[in-house]
Amino acid sequence: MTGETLLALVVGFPLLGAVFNGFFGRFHGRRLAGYLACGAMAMAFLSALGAVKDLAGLDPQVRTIHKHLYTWIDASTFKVDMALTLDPLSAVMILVVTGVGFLIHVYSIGYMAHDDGRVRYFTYLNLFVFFMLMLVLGSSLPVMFLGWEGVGLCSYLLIGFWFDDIAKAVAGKKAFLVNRIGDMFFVLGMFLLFWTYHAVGSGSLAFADMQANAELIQAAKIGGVAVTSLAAFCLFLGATGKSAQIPLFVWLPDAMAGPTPVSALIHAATMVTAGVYMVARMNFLFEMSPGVMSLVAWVGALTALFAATIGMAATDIKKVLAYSTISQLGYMFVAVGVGSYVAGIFHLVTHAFFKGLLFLGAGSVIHGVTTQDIRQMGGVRHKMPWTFWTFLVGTWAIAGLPPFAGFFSKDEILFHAYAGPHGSVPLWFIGYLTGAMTAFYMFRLFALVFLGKTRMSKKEYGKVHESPATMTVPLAILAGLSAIGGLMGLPHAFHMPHLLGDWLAPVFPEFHVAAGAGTELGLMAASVAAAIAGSLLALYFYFKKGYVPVPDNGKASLPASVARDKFYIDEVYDGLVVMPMKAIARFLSATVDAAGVDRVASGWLPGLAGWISKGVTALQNGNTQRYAMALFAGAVALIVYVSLFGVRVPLA
Amino acid sequence: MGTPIPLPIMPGDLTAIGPLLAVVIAAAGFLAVDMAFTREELKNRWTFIIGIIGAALAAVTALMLDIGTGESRLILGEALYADLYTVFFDLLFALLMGASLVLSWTAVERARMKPVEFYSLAAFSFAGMFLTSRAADLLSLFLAIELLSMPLYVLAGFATTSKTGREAALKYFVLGSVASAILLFGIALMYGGTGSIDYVELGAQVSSGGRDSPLVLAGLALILAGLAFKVGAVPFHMWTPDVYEGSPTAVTALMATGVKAAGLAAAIRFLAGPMAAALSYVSVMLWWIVALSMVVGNAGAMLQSNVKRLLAYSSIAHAGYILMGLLGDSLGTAAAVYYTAVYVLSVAGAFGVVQYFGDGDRELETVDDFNGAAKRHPWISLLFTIFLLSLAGIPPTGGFVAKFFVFGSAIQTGHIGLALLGVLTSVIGIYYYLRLVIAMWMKDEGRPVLAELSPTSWVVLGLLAASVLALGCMPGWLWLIVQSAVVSLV
Amino acid sequence: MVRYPSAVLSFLVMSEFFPIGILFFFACAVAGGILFVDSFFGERRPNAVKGSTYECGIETKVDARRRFHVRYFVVALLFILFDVEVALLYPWAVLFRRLGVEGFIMVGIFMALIVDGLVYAWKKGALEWE
Repeated sequence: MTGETLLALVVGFPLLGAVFNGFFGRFHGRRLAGYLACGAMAMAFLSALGAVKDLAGLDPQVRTIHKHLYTWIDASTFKVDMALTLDPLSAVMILVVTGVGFLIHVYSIGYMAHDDGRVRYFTYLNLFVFFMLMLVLGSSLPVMFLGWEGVGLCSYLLIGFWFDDIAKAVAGKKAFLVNRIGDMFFVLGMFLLFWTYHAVGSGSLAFADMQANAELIQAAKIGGVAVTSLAAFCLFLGATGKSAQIPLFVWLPDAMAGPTPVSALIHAATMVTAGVYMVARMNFLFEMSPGVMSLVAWVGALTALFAATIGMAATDIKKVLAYSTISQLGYMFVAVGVGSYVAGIFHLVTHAFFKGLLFLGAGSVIHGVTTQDIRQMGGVRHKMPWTFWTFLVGTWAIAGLPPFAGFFSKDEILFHAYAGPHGSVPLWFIGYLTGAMTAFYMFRLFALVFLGKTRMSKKEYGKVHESPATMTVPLAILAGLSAIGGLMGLPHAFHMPHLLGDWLAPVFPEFHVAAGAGTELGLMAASVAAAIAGSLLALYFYFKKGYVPVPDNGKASLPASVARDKFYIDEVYDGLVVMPMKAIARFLSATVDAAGVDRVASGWLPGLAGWISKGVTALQNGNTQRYAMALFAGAVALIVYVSLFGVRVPLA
Repeated sequence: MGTPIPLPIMPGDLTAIGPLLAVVIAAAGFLAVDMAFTREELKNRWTFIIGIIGAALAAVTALMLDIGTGESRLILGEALYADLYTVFFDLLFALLMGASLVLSWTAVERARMKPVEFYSLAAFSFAGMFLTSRAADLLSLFLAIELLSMPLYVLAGFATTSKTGREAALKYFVLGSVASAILLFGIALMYGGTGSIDYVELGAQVSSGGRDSPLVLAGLALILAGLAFKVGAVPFHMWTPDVYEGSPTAVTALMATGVKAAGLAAAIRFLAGPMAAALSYVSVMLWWIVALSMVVGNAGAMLQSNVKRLLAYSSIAHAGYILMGLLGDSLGTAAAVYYTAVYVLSVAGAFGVVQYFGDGDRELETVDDFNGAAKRHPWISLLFTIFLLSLAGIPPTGGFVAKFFVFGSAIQTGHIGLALLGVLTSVIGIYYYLRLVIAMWMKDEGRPVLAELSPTSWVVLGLLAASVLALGCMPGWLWLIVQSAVVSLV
Repeated sequence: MVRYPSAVLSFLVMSEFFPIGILFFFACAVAGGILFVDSFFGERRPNAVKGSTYECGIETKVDARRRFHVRYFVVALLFILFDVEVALLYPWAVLFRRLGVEGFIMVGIFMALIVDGLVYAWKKGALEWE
């Protein structure tokens, strides 16, 4: 099979799975639904492997595979092809999406074994993968946006999967609405780009065309501001929505209401990284606007720090992981913000491995323990050895301790933030500090869950059990990937090939680091030291001393309580945005709509129409003479009109 | 003895009027069937067979026409045209004939009419319709319109048991005669003013400068009035509600689809064809006809409780929308043709469905009679809903696209006020079409009875619905055909 | 193009129809004038005989607007049909040789259609008087 066909199959299988489960699920039963979904994912993964193999066979300079499916929109100057493009960047993404996705699907069979909504669950999950693949493979901005909206929809559906619980339904709604704000800016950016490109004669929003014509729009301005900067800014705001960055991060912690595999797949490994991917994909645009680039980097850094702070105080196992996800996404934005796209994508990949692993591990724990509060756990280690060891690998990796994956990717980002052309010391320092905090809160979580004596009742503790093989095997595989994943991006200081960097080289602009190997090794040592310090500190407090975070209503120190209450961001947003919006909505609905529009539109206008109608039907009295009269009058009127006002017809 | 006079028949001319011959032969065949058999079932069977063969032959011969490079060809002594435009309408009429045979049969028998007699008269009327799109001079036009009207005068009162039917027939006949007289008078004035009845010649005279003639103006105005009568546009519309309501439903279906389409085919050929230069002299009148038709048609339908009367009024409004296209440029003309096709398909479907509802002899008359139809007959209600939504102009149906094209061309040529009026009045349209939809789907006290549908009827109704949807979702292909057909007009 | 306020008026004044217009006007004026003058000076002495309907010297028995049996109309229609047919056949007969075989075939088709109609009417009993 050719690469193009395989590419179509990559997106085709998940869609087929979703359609099949969605339409025929109620006939073929719940058990089969999971196997079908996993089968679809396995096939998609194999197709992706085949397609990437074909891609690797091409010359690096022309390394793209293009598959035109059909013309989606054709409105003269605005034309959008439904087309897929595989290049080294999207190749990395589809392997992650289908590979990690497949493992999480398998895991879901075990995790959702007792849920009645399995058919619906697997339908949504497959549909999500389809849209995610459209997002990364879409050859143009509109197609990417199609995927972008699609994953948002699936995210909403899956967060609110258990919609009988009103809080979970509300969490889904919140995620959807917050994302909508970002999406609006994405669309605005897209409009701006179309408008600008159209003005210079190229109305295409395909990535290849936009990149080729990038120079043409460099000078375009709108009210004195460069359009490129404005568009990049809008697109980045869109990314902050999907990738949960300041100021639109508030939905992600609440999104943990969904089933845990969903958190692993959508809210850790794939969807939330879409923003990073988009910035990397649009690198030619961001490169033209250095101001926005540094904004990206700083927003990423501040988000990383901020989320890590809250993560240190969170007491829900999934919330801790959620905040750590926000924090890690911040790292990725730092990377792309300083122009080190390779490092950003590298961290995206390793993060997909270890955060997927951690979430699945957390899911396994929740599956066994049936609570999410880490204050009520402890000592789970003995009951769940597989989960324990794999979770340790994940924690090790995310803490940035060598030689696991997280160490290499995070370190590359920190080095580039420090020494890269757009980097600076403050930027590096925030990242560095965050690294230490990450190690602290992750080992705090680890210690509180697995180590020490249990805080559960004897009866509860007795029920804790290891998860089935469908769940532990994916854990083991992801643990393996988290352990060795770093090998694809060894530091230059080691004088080893940076495999991922070489593979991605054709896609991104060249990135030079001024500093030498010495600086790199020095920074590495410093961050390892910080990570070790953070880890040991956490183990000391929460394992050796056996501290347990105070209950929610308990007294805590001021900084701790502020962090525990998430800096009151939700409350601030509620007061600043939600309340005024509701007030406006009430005004519009009660005053403008009910008293104004409704009165005119459903009172006066129908009244007028009805009045005319009565007049018309009154004329129609069934009298043939009158009808003939009207006919005649009409003809006479026409004659009179031409006689009085008619222009003479010139005749030959 | 003298020199032989060659008949003005060129090779290929007979192919070009093939559809016409096919229906005339079918009509003669119906008469023969009526004479040859005495048993009703044999008559019916052969009527159906001959009718379907005639319609199919008409379609096939229409498709056999060699369009060449797309230019119009004059045939039979320059009396008729043969071009893509005629092929387009031939196919439409052939389809209507087939649909009428399949869908109206039940209604014909319910009204105590004999199918063989009904369809022989209908076939003669169809022959007239096939002529309208071809007419290349004013006499052909008159002949075509008379040929299509005469059998319908009879058909309107053909259900001899129905008092309203007789009333409708008489009204239709009297008013139709007046309209024919007006049309003929217009033709006479036109001939008097120019000395020609030939479209091409008339067009040439009108567009090139020279002697002034108010006769031509008056003639144009009267011909416009005569055509507006057939199309059912205001103020020549008064006959439609009474005649549509009183006539047997099968005949009403024929009037709402065939007659209207034929009138439009003739009007479009007359106003946008070689005579296009004359359009500028009557455009203000046309503007008023369009505006009044939209307002009166929609407003009249708004408060109707009788379904046939409602559809009658709405057909007035649709005539207005279609004629609006003629005020635009060639794209507007194409929009008008497109709208005609969509309208015909939707109305054929809608009447097709209406004809099957009813209890014994009684048909469903009022909107309330349809209460609860969806609960008992969901599929046919779904089909009916599709047709109604198309008539209301709601996507994804063809009606929406058609309105979009018409309004779009009106706006592009500066008739923004008219387009605005069109949009506003179509909102009223949505109101009354949705009343039927609501009655069917959201009220459940009623128990409407449905006559049995043969598999063929299901297929035809399904195809009509599918094509209405297809024209809404993929308007491109037909739009292209229509555009080239319009190009061949001039 | 120049727009005239009234095309018909200018046409009437300038064209050859103008004398006819004058004639039309005077005809109306004279007829109307005489009737008008008569209504002033004429004597009116109505009686029953003067007011009765005059119809060839025979007294009227019933209302003139009486209904006729439908078969009168059927026969009348058929008569018109063949009347028209004759009107068409006559010129053909004059040019019979010059129109040749083709013309013969054409008229043959025409006749066949008409005969088809006649036979149909016959068969349907349209010609039965009782």
